[in-house]
Amino acid sequence: MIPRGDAADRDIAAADRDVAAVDNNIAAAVNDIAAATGGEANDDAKIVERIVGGDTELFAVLVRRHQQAIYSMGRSFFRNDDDAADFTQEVFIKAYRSMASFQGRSRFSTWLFRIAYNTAINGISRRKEYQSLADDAELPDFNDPEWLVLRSAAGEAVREAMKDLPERFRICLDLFFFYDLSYPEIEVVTGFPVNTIKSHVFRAKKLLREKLRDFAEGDIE
Amino acid sequence: MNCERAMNIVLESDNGDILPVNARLHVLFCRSCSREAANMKKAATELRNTAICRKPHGDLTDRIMSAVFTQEEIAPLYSRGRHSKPISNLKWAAAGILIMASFILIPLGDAFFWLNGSFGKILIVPIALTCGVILSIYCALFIASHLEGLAVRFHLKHES
Repeated sequence: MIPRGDAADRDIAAADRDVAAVDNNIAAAVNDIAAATGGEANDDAKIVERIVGGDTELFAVLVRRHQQAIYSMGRSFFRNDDDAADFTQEVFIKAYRSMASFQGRSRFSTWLFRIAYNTAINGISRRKEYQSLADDAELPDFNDPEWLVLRSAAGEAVREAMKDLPERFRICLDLFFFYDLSYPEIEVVTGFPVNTIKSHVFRAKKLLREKLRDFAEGDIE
Repeated sequence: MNCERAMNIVLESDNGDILPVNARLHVLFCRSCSREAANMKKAATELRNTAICRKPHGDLTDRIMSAVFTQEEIAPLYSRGRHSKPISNLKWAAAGILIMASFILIPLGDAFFWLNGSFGKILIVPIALTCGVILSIYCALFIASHLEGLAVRFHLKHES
């Protein structure tokens, strides 16, 4: 064990106090926003406003809130953990840099997805085909067999719908089914016309309906 | 409404959409449609939960925050983008109305009658040219100051 002097211990303790103070400030700011927006703690637009106004530490709240979705998208495009983590970092740096241009006309998450999508399709290290979340082998296992059936049916339907789609359209299904974006939001992110997105999603939903019929004749409670 | 039509409406619906009343009533009272719609809803929820299963190894927040704040070229956010105060749309509309009103009122003024008497119909050409130049300048300024918004509105660019 490396011996540490008193001075070093004091520095570490001071640094810990600083970190705790910053965390407290962030928590207080988030609570303020929640109170100002009628308890809507997830009002990203308000947080963006505060960041643009100078509360730059609040950016950590947005990072915590959205990193998983961006990382997940990165995994689909780059198909390995390191590149997905680098991608997530790059997306958030870009988002921070252009935060002042966020006008609040769409959800913050949609705006962030748009940056992520553009970063991914222009990514120089991207060599592999887009891998849908439906293809992901690392999905958690549920003990509940009914949920397992439902998940299998849903996953298989989306996979099947993906199979016949050109690669560039596959992300539309992921954005709709996995990231819960609406048709106009997917249009904003990808730039594909709403009707094209609708028709792909409709086809996938029809397949899902058929699969659910096949997999579960009775109720899935 | 028959089952197929009701289910098609369900399938066409967007995330977060509320179904039309007739389709909602059908789904509510038709046992098979109700079961199918419920199962589809559960499957959709299940798919959404899948997205959160891909997690980075550890929280990336600290890494991202330190990367964000050590980028030297990043100027403080509050010093960017918000300096120039844009002219409000109300002011633009007032200016436009003023310009149009003055165009309409030109032929009614005494000066116009005097000039018309002195120069005849040939006066219309310079007046029309002047009006055209004024209108062009107004439009050019309007477009230049609303470039981003217009590009988004006419689907030439997506909101950034």
